[in-house]
Amino acid sequence: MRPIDRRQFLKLGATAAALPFLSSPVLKALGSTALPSTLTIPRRSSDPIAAALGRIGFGAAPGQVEKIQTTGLEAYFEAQLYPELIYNTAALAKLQNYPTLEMSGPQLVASKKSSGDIATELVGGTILRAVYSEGQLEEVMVNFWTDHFSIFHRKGACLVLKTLDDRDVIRKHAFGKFRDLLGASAKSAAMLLYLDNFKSHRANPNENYAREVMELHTITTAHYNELDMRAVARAMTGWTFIDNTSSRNYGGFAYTAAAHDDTEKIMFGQVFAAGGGIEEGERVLDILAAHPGTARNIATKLCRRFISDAPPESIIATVADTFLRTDGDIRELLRAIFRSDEFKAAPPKFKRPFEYFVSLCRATGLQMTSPVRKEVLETLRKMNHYPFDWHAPNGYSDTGAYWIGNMLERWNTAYNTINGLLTGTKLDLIGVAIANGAANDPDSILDYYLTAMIGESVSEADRATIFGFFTRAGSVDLNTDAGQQALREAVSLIAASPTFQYR
Amino acid sequence: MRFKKWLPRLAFRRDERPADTLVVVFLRGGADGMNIVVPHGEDNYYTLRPRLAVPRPDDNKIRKPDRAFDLDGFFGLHPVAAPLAPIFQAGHMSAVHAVGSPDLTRSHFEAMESMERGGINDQTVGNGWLGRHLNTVADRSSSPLRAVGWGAALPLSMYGSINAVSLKSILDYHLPGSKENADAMLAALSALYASAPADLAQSAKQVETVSTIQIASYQPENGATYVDSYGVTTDFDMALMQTAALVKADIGLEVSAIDLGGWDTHENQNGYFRDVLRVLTNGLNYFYTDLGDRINRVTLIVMSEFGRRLKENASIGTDHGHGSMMLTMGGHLSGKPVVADWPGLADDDLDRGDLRVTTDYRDVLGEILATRMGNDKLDQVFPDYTPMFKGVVTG
Repeated sequence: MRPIDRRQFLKLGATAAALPFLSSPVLKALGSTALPSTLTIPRRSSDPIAAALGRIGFGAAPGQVEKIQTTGLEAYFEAQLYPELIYNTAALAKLQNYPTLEMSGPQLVASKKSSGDIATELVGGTILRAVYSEGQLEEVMVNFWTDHFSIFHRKGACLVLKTLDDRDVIRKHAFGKFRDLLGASAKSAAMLLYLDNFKSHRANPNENYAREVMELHTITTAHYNELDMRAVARAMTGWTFIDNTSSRNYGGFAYTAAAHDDTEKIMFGQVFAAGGGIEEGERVLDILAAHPGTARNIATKLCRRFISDAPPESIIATVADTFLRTDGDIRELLRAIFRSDEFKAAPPKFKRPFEYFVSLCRATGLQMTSPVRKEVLETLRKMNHYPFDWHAPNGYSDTGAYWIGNMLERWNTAYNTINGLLTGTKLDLIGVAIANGAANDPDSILDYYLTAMIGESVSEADRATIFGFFTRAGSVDLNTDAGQQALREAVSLIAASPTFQYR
Repeated sequence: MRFKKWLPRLAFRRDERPADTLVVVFLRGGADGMNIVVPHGEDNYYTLRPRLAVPRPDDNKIRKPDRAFDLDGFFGLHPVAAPLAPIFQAGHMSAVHAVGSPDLTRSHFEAMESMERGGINDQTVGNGWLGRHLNTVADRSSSPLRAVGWGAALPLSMYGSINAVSLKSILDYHLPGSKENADAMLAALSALYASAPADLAQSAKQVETVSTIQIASYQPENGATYVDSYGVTTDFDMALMQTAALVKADIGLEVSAIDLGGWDTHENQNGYFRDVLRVLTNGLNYFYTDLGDRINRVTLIVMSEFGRRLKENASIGTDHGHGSMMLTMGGHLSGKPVVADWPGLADDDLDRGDLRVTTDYRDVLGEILATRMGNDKLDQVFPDYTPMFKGVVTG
């Protein structure tokens, strides 16, 4: 009956930061506290610019709100729709250590980098851009379309091909016309591989892509039947990619006429005459891109991303109408959302882990080296939101119900990040606060982060809790290590608080 | 009752309706069920596995410890799993054979995903069968620690319920930094989260609850050591031990999910397979021993995403198959060592070269949820399937 050796316990995943926890008071009388009947939803910032930056971006960076006040939010938003015109030197400088992001398929092969390294560069680049790009709305839309046209990068060569897809499909068309985005995705080597269409042959049509392009990417299950799906699968036969790594066009789209089923088909109530070649597939995509079911699907998902988990019917209808009226002009859809009353009145939305981490980096002015180190990447993995790592084609969920839970991992992320425990990151909490108007005393500096991160309308009780925690060992002297540690811990508490979990 | 110093004093509302603690062990990789519960009565098993078949219990050309341990005259246990025989003989362990999924995929992740989601046809449904089970019994208890997935992330089977939390180890489940910081921060967070929305507040309560469990002071009972003859305690052992501790703590744990990997034995199966089967055997043995009488309040299931092909391959291993076996452990089993609608292994009986599936895995899971876990809404747990009870457990 001997007790378990304490050493064996500590063997299990003990980190350098965790100390033996064995002599704490034994019991905590949790009692039978029922939850209060009036639950308050954490308040978004009452400042419309700060609030908007959590929607059309990944949250405010120090000084950003003040900068936008001079030009106005509307002008800022309009400029965000044209990222190619945005002055983005800081982000671009960070990407210089990621040469694969700009490489073609053959160049990726010639680089001799392992597929794992290529994939890691893409993930690192995604994080750096989300944190540092001045084109914040672009990064939000890239994140959105990445989930909409989701590809699991660990399926074979997708580890390499997703780099091409991210640049040439998602980023290239994030603000363009939906039909162009859909077409690029249908011809993307990564997508052709991931959903198996590359091997779809008239002798054995593969239905995976045909099903998902309709069910998930466009019209949804409400608008097609199994016969349509099988016909679409036959129409898309022959759509493949060049998978010979010696080829000068490795990773490029290829149409193999010999593999194509060119018999007559009936789809969506229309006859597709026999002898249709690649044009058949293009016509299918035309129909799907213009379909009201697609308009509704895209509108709903955009409203879920920008407004709330259960968006009001009024705004979905507005955006769906805009989609049909403008032939799926993505900028117009975003304008319709941004200008709506529903956007201005949107309730708080629970941040997904990627959004949480990026907003934390931005709000604290964190400096991250490039290449991004594995401790940073592992942070996202531990919160189960590692980019491109969702198995199924439906992408990471965009509803709070899916992500709420396991708060400990977020709290640990907050602590580890703000205490600079992630290799390759650095913070200057005092410097950033003072540079943005805080007086040089502990309370003012903490108050800067309180306001910046959870808003000036924090309740008196919560303010007392946070400042009480800050000064629990007595008054804080920021010239000492202990004082600076106290500041880091207090900012971690703010980052771990309920309000900061929402955007 | 003697005060156990490591137990938190946790008061929570709960139904008086009794339910077992359900422990689900998932063998990742497609475990070779036919070499765990061996159909030694089948000639074709020996014909198609000349090097991998487990010798018959009465094969005098082989040393007795290397032969199958007979269970019922037709099936036997792999010798490495023979330490489980006493549990079978006590009626507290059983096998279900020729069980599997109608999904014919041989892709690990597709098969696992399908099984953990409970075979739902709609690909966009992201929740799992255990998550849905917990939701149907959601108002049964207000304990913050109703369901634990051991490991870095919740298994897919538990997605969809706010009551499930993933733990790597209870010891590590606390805030980082110094102990003083962690305690003070937890107190401050509890205050801040007190008026947060329910799901969020629940998470905070889970951290609080787990932080108060002094797991290092836990003493296993009845001679269970959770340490093998080499002095090794595996992660699998730790998950089972912590499960046993939580069961005894009586803090409302309803579901515990544990993974054990390493079963994808495409080559040299006699080596790797024995090692991982030993880990499984030891862990189950420690757990059973430690629980003692508490076995009457526990039902444990061992399952895998598919079995392996009957015919061994050229690398002295086996490739992805279909039908397999599940194991059950608990105080209320059917009494038969093996429950099966056995289809046979003659060439004509096989399904594309694999053991034919005659019992859907949801028949077993559904019967256990209904009979041992008091779930009367199986249609919400398995909306695309109606389980048929095969008499695996008793009420």
